[in-house]
Amino acid sequence: MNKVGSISADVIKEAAFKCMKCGTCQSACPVYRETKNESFYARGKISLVEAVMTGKLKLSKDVEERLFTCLECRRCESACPSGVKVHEISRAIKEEIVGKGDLLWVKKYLFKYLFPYNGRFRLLGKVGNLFYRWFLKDLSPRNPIRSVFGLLGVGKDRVVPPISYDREGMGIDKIPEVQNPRATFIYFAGCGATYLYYGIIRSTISVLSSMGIQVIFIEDIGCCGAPIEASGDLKTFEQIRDRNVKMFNSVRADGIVATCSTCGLQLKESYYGKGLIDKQVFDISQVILKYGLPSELKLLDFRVTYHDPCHLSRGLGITKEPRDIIMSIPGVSFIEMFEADSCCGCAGFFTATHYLIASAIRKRKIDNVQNSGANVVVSGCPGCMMHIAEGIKQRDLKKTTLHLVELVDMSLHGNGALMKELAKQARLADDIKVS
Amino acid sequence: MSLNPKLNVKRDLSRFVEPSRILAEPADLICYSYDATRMESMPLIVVRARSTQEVSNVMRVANNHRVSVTPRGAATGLSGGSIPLKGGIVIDMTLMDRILDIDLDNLRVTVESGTVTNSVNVALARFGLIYPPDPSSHLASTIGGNIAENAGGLRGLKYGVTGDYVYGLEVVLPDGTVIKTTKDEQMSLGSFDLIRLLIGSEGTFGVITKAVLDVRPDPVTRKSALAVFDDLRQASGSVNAIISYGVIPATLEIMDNVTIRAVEEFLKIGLPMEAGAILLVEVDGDGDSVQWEFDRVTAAIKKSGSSDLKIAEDDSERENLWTARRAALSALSRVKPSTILEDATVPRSRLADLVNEVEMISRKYGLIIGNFGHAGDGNMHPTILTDLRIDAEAKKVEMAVEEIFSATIKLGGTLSGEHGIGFAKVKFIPLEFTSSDIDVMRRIKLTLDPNNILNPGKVLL
Repeated sequence: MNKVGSISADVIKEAAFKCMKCGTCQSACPVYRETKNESFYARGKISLVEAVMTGKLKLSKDVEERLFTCLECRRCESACPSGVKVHEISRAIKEEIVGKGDLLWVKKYLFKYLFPYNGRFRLLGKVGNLFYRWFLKDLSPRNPIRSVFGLLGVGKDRVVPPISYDREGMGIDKIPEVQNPRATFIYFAGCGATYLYYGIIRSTISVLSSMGIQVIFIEDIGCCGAPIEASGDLKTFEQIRDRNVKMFNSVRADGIVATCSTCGLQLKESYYGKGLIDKQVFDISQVILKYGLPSELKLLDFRVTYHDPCHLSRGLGITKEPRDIIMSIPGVSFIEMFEADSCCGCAGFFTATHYLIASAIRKRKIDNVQNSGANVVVSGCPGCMMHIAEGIKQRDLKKTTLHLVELVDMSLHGNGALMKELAKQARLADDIKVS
Repeated sequence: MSLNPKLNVKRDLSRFVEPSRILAEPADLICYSYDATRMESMPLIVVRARSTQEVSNVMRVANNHRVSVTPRGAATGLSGGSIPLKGGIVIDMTLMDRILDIDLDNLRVTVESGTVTNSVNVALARFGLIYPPDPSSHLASTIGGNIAENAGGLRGLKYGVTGDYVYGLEVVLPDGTVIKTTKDEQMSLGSFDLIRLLIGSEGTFGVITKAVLDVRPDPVTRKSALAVFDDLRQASGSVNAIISYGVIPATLEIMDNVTIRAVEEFLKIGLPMEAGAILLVEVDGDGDSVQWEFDRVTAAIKKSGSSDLKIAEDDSERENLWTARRAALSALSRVKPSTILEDATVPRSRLADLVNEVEMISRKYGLIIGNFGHAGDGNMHPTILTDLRIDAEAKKVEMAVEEIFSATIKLGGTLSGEHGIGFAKVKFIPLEFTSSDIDVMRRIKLTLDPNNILNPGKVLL
């Protein structure tokens, strides 16, 4: 092999050689914790890649399945004493697998026919919303219709998130013009907020505007491409990226703000980090802290715990900022849960392709949420929110999952339209009262 | 009967183990072929045992087919103990990870051998108890592996090593017989101490399936300090001074200049980059006695010529010091592509001599050797930083390692402080043992394992 994917084989060999096989990553890997299988965590995966490169092993379906059983949560990397860049090795070998045409067929078709097209996404959001409102929203756990889920290869106990494409809900047609803005930010919402949790978009616009920041929302910017690049389909990713890059660079702004940890990391690493866009990327928590919250905040009688999204904590190194913000909201009592920074198990496509492992990992997260005694779980990633909310509903716990920016918005505007929207989406637990 | 041994073994194993726990695909086998030595050897088949009975059955199958068996925990070992040198069956013990009992009256915990070392301490924490042995790999390593290698750790000086905490064992012998034994029973027999025989036997005498471990109350107070020295010899001398003041610290660690620089560059926590060596010391116990011991320790350090003494004022400063020590190997491993970690132990009084020897060997071969370790136990980890892919380097490393071990033995030391012999150090055994020593040990081994099927190629046979 001269190349692994598009990367020179020597580079990958060198990266893999840094692995001392010490096994420290074993204790860090959420997938290993549930499966206890050596081939499912970094040390085993790197050994497989090495064996493939030396020709000792064929890149068979068997090997491919193991390499794809990964959350990309990067706990192995942050635990690694030798600084092995596991995700770079993994990305290269996945690119190789995609090149062979061995990408899972669902991903293949979605990447090709859905992800590059905003129009199709929106249509799916609108149609999905009808289905959601008609019967998915209140589908009881024992409803016989759930056997159809089984036929579709989906877990029978799955709770469908509130699919939608709601321009009014998002509030993107009424972005306030801020007089003498303190700064101007392009807001990158991402698929999760656009098609599942439009409240995040509404709240981001509302919070940033009341802080005196002008929000620019570029509707035509599509998916950031993170799931596609992480699956190794670099060609499709680059096609999507190049389109986005043009749009980012066509607008003047002080930076880009993201409300999804994965989008934020993706824009930082694969756009800004590669010198393709000229604007720095920030997480919403950084922007809120930098410019400061308005002083008039309303009391929120919540017991809040915070879940660290992998790509926010280990990816972008942001752990303190969200907690500082939560603790600055009057009335909120903050409870740190056990293992707050361990993965929730969602990992985008992973929860669909590896539901058994994903829900075993989530079980620990929901246990920790439950033990914390909090009634609101705050996070900084729509994917985590979706997965945690599903776990909460499956156990019928009375808990609400919110994005950090939604919590801040509530404290700014209290019992406003947002609460109605949350109730409309069946996202609000009964015991949440807002004064 | 098929001529393919793999198929025969697989068929016999599947009579009592469900297929999902028998791994035979090349992709799986590769992942069970190595440990932290980076050496590798492919197994024929992997069985993931769930019970003692299954382990016993595996041994019988192996004897029938005359294939070897290698027990494996987390494979974090540093001497190759869990590598299936002759192929054969690997018994993966990691699914047997239940903590079966915490006995608060007798201060003992019963665990299955695949239990991760750290999770024992996690389970004990809410009772205010600790299981003291803390090998650096404790987050991943298993109790079974720790006992088989008689693993040490940072707290070894005051608290001893794994073997000191094994009260009882359940073991599957090479012929499949299951024995259970405790220290008290051994005492009433008054003769053979089977537990001592099995501790540190590196999976060659039996497969450990359960262990009863002694635990201790968690010390209430801890106090740590960092002492700076101009050179490594002076620091080594200080170790003896501290002990001669009548104090056994919980931990007494040493780091040389190469290690200090590597750690500081990695962590940036304000270690003295110019120092020849540092000592890290911690005493623990209850409030008054800790202060008394700490005063003695600091007096001893000052008297032995330390140029600077930093006392950790609070828990976070204390934590910083120990983070620095735990990061030693990690930080060194970032310096060069290959890191060869050795484990050389001498009587504490000869520590300065060992340090001298390693420095001379380092100069002689022009190799970078970072030297750090458990100074209080005379257990050093000379760590060679190199690139083994370059043949000339690999040759030099081989010779340097050999000289380090010869020097260690000459100083009255031993080949392994805490990592075991495995097969990485088999060739050095004649340096330490006479042929009659080796012969008697081999006879014991063959009595227990006449077909030599349990972990062959390691230690003795």
